[in-house]
Amino acid sequence: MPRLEEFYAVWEQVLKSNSADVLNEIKVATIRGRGGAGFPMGFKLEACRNAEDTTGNGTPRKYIVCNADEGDPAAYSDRYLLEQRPHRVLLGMMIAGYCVGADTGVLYIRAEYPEAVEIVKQAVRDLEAQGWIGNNIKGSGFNYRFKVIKAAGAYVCGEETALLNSIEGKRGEVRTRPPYPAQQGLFNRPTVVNNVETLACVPWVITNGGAAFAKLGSEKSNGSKLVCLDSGFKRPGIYEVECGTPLAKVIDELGGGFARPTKALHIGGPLGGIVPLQKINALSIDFESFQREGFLLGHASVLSIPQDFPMVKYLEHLFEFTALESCGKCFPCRIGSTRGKELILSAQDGKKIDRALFNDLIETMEIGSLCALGGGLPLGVKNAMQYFRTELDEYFA
Amino acid sequence: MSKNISSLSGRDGKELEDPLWERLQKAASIDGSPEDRALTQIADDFLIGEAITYGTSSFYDFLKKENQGKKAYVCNGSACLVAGTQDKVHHALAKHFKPEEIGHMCCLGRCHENSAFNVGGLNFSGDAIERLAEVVGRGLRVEGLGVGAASSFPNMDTYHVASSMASPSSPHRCRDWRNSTPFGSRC
Repeated sequence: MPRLEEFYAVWEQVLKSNSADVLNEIKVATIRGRGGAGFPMGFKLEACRNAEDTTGNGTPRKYIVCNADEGDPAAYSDRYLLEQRPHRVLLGMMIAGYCVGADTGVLYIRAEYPEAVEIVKQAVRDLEAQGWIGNNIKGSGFNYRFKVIKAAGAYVCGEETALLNSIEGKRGEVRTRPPYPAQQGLFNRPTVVNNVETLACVPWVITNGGAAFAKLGSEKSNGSKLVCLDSGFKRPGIYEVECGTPLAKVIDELGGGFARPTKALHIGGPLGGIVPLQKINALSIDFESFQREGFLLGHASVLSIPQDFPMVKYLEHLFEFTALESCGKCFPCRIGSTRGKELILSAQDGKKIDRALFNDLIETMEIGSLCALGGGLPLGVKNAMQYFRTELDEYFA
Repeated sequence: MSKNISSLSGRDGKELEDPLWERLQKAASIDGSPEDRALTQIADDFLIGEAITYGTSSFYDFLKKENQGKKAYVCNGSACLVAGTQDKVHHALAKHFKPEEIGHMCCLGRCHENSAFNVGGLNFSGDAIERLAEVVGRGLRVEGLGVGAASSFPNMDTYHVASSMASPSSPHRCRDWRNSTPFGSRC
């Protein structure tokens, strides 16, 4: 496999390097988490590097966990990486492990991506055959092993602490923090959880240098970003753009424009913002512009809402989705999502919603929920109420 | 959530070698959900209460009792919803499966093609629903295919892949990126 050997040449270089220097390149690159939260990867790695396994529970360990539970409808960039670029992800995990002294990489891949699970398992077998993982890799004294975990259908496990509970065989309920996973994560041991795309950036950063990555993009959003376009575009697909690229360019030049009359874009998954067309020119693919305009870049999935799809039906779908997927640990999400769904359903039967009551409900969810599931739903709802008020007014008293 | 359960689940010999999670999944693999007897046995093996194994198995879509006997799943994600394709998918599946054998998945990541569904552990989308009889007849299963490339799967979808950083207007250019961008390499 000459191509793989060429690709993994950087791994053999890493194994001869000082782990602090390797970590420093990632810190210089300032990779922000691509899963939606945007938390700097270097901080997590450093915190885990400085933590120790104090459990006294058998072999002391640290873990690198790849969050491949890409549950956001309209997002499939992680699926693309797992199926088409699996070694980019695996090498990213191996380098991250080397930085923090972790000997185990765990990939938690959603059950809805069965092909990705098999492809990644085969890629791990290829690594074993080449001696790039295992004990005392290439005489370096460094050990690394992989475990591929197939999930079982729970959107909330995309939240990192719910994901860790799931790997442990427990209900996918969100944990309170602190302690953070870098201190007490999987099996109570120091753990770094990163998204697929975040980890897939690492090999390029190490090959080309952290400064080269940092040079790409905007002031607070470095590097490139994968953007997914759904079937509402003439050229639906996965597009890699430099952070800071205007959203209009992604839609018109890469996506070829809309394939059907469209009234809004839901960007960043069900917990992201609903962007009306008039706001497209104010946005670029970076964290800053989305935050400034009251939206969320999230995982950069772009779902186009057709002109003839009633916004009230879309809000019903969002509340129903959250009610189904809520882990139930905190009441604002558990009860709020169900009450919201009931209100929206009743409104379509002629019982108008008390606007003040509804605003209280989504505010409670937004500020009182334990994680981004209940806390994130209100953003899109508020966007819809602001920008599609005319359409929704008939449902509110 | 109890740290004690985490520690019991993470003991040497269990942890990732014989994980609680996979024991539960294996118990569900026969009929879509673990039998009560299996949940008790697993709880005993891991020195944990039955409430934990019952609690876990009732939490996940593909472990819970409602998943028993499911043979086909319709994607109910937002992209398929707004595309309006899923009633047709459900109707077509209903010709081959009993109502209680059809479940839902959210979502299959086929948002660029829609009409997404899962049969026999494999995902399909786009015009595959027009070839449903063939899909069901082949009885495909993803496990154990032992393939190393996505193109080896008979059910794979197609979508545009491009980078504005290398070539703004040419889809399917991934072979030419080679290390020119963070996601450019073939590996």
